[in-house]
Amino acid sequence: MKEIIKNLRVVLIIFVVLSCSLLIGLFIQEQRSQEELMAVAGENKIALAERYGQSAGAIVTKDNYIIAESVDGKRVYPDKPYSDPYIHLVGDYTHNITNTIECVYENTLLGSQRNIIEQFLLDLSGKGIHGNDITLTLHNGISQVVAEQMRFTGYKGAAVLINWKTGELLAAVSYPAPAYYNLINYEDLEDSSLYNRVLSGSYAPGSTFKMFTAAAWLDSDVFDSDYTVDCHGVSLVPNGPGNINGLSHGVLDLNRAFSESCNVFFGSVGNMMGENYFLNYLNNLAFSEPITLDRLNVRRQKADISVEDAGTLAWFSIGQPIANSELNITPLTHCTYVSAVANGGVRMKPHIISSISNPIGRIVEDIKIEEEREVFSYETAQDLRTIMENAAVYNGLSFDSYTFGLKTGTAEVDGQSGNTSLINTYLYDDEHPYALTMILENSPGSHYLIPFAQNIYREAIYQSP
Amino acid sequence: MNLQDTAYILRYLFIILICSSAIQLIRLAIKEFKWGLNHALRPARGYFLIAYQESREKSDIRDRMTKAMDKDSYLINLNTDQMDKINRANEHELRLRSDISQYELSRGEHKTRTRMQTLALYPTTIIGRSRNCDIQIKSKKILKRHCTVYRYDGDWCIRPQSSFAKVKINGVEIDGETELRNKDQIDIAGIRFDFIDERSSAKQAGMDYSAAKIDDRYFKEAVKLSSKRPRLSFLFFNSFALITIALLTYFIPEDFGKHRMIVGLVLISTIVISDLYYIALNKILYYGDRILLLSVSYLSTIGLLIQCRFSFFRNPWFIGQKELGDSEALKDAVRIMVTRFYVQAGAVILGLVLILFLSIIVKKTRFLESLTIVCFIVTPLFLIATKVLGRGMEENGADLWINIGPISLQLTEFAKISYAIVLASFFKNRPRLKMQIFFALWAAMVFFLIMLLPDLGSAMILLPTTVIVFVIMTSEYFKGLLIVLASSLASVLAYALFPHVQARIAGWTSLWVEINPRNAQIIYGLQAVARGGLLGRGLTNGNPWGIPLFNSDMVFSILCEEFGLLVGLAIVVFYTIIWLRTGRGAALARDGFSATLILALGTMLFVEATVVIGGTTGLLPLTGATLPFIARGGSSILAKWIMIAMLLGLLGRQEAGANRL
Repeated sequence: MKEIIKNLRVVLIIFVVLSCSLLIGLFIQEQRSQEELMAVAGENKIALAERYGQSAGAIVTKDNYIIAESVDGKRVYPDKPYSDPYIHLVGDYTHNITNTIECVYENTLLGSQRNIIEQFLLDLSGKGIHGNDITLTLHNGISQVVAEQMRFTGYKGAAVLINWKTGELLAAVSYPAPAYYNLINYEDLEDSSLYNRVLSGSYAPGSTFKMFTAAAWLDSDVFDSDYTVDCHGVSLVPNGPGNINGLSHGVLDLNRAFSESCNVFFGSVGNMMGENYFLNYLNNLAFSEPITLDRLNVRRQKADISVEDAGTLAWFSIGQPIANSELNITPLTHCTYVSAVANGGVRMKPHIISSISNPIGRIVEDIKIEEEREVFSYETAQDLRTIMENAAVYNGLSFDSYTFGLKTGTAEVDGQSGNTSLINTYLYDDEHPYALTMILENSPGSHYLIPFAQNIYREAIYQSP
Repeated sequence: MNLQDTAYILRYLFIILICSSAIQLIRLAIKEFKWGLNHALRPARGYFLIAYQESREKSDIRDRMTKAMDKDSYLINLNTDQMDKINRANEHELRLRSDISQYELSRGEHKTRTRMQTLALYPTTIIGRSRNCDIQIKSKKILKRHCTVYRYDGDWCIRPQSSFAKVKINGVEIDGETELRNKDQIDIAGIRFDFIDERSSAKQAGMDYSAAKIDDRYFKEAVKLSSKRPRLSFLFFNSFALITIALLTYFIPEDFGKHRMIVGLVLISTIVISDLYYIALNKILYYGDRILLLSVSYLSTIGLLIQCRFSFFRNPWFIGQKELGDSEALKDAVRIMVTRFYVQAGAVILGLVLILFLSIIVKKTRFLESLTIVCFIVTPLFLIATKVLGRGMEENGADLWINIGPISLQLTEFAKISYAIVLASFFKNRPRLKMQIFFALWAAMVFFLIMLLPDLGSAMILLPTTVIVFVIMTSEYFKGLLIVLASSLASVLAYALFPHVQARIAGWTSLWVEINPRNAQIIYGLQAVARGGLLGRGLTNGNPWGIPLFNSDMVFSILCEEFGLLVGLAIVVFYTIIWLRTGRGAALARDGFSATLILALGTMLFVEATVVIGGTTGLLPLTGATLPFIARGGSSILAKWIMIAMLLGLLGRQEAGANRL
């Protein structure tokens, strides 16, 4: 009997240790699950649907258009085509696209990570289980116009409209866009329609890159305001780029070369600066540094020259990487640089979240308008403005008395029959401080975009938030 | 306010009620467990050995409780006096030290006169040279563990521990279990003992044994003192149950409107029955374990309420049927959902009714002891029947259910009980090696059948239970270690042979790496736990749908999601309480069979809960076992209540009164 008692004591200790381990293990697993498993793409879709339908807050635009809301236990989204401007950014509860508001702001929308006091107070109000509402900086009227213009072109691509004074995103459309029904059920999806080109698209910048080449030259020791090139359509450096169809521009200075988008001039300027200086300048601009759109990720841009060769550098300087050089831009990031030009060289931190309010209407998080960094000096920005505004006039982007800045670009892409057309513009107006980047894949050319940009600006001014 | 918001607010109240109860009950359980261990060494009343020793020095025998006596004086009065002393020791010290009963019998060099010594007997008394023996005899002729005197089925027996141990009864050498009768002379390696049964002695002397002044009130009072009623927990339990029932019945969807009253009554009746039983427990069993009953009631009620919620609230299958707009289909859907709940509730009510009768039978009779042979045969038969007639592979990965008419039974649940009875019969005392081998062969066959089903869960429950019972009852640590090593080897073999074992392990090991069909169930379960956080989302506000077997295997995840992790932890505490009560019961039990069976059943419940909770939360591989008292399943619920009935009856045996002791 003594032995049995002794054994019982030993087993008791084992069981107590086991129970404590179980309790601690449960706690650890719960914490670990919150950190690791809730974010995985393989989340339980049925539970997600129910949970969102049950308690997720609404997502609305700044002009109160409801993009997502929970009604009678179901998550409701707009029908096509009204969903087109939002589907890539807002996403849906299935998280089939992960870099979206619905996915990244899941805890906010479901109200699952509030502090205890706030949660308790909300519980007392009877609204504790409901999630927070999110108001976006997007403007529905403008977004629908941008989406309509993108649809009208019929080409895959992206368009971003930013308020260059505040960094607020007013429209960000990726085309093509699936219908919500198809996204949720993951069926009948057009090729690459789930791809958010605004945040993740990677494009050779073409001549829009000349804005950076010009800025670098303006800030360099080798800058000469009287420098001119006599353009015969053929590159001045070996293996460098000539103009399309060998077009001869004659004698050009920076201003005219920018408006004409002369490859010969900018190829020559690039070589004048040298590879090291140019790449250092781009680094100082944070060209390749990643940016974020609140909690959304934005693809990193790249700029690198593979070989020290005058021709390669010349191609690089006009925004067309060759050999193993890397040069690509992301529509949103590209737009922030043209915004900086309009904003005196200061790039504002881009935002898509305007405010987050809890179920009783109290704003728990508000947009913070803040400068991200000065990417161009004020003087350089002013010089860039001058040449870009001249380019706008030269290329016919104008209406009423508004002042626009513009740089167009066309990039050749391997394996693509057409070119990638790009346009990087801003509207210099205190009441309508908009910057627009538009990119179309496999399209006729950059000038094709100008009328669409003009339409977008016109409607944006008309529907001014 | 609607159901969603009301439930969300009420979660605070539920956490307070359940967690407070768990804390109070575990405190009492730990306190009483310690008390139980300190008071476990109680000699059997009315039975003892008289040792005869020839010794020149009186001090050779260290004896603090008894005195040398005349050969003919071992009748009632003297031993009543002895018991009185023991009882008084209880009263004053509230403890009985093992040294009361440990005597060193040293052989004197010069044997000049005979001395006698009264030696107490315990339900299992080991005699040998080892310091750990209950009766230690310091002699080279005596083996470390020489023989065992034990009580089984009301009779006292003696058995040599090995073939080298020389034991004679009335001059005849024995080599196996031999029943002891009053005044039998036992010769253990030359030392003589007399076995005394006071009842027989009293009868022979023409005296009425029951009329003797046996006063055990001190001990009984001590038991009662240590068994405070957990009144607050009882109040909290009822508050929790009533508020939750009110919530569910008030908000029951209109589709089930006409069942509202019945559902409410069914739920209330389970609470009323368990309450009545709780109140009358001590009247029925004299010593009723209220802490155990209350803990089980909590688990059962939580289980029934969560199953009620699964049946009636936001069930997407039902909603889908409803959206079809077919009134006949909707009627069928209502019938299915209602039936599902009634089966669960029916099992609980049947279990509650059963414990009333079964616990009394177990306490008052030797019914369980008589079932040993039946269980020995029936256990493998249950498993074979399940293998031959079973179904459920497609749905649950194992053929564990058999249909008998409209009833679907899971015989493996009952096989666990019969296995425990066989285990208790073999290990009621320290069995000899050949008996251990015999049991091992039988158990190996049972485990092989279990793996054929395949029922990994049962294997993971029965194996630790067997090892724990074996080690506690035999103290053979080395063999225990060998069993563990052999089990590990068998596990490796099972892994190599059975694809379903490989799948389980693969799912478990890839848990934090990727999501795949093998681990999706656990990951979804963990996501549910994560969604619930510490405080939960409120009853009915969880999202169980999409988690395979959410109402059986994975129910713990949903409990954590809806009631919160704190309640999840409280549930673990309730299972720990069950083991603590059975550990205490095993220590205080008055015979080896009761002690072993109590231990086996309690360990089985605790291990099952641990395996399920560990599997659900990714701490262990998922086994397919279900959470006792909570998971869906009539057979499982009924089997668990039968186990509780047996436990209550067995625990009630310990203070069964003078007639039993």
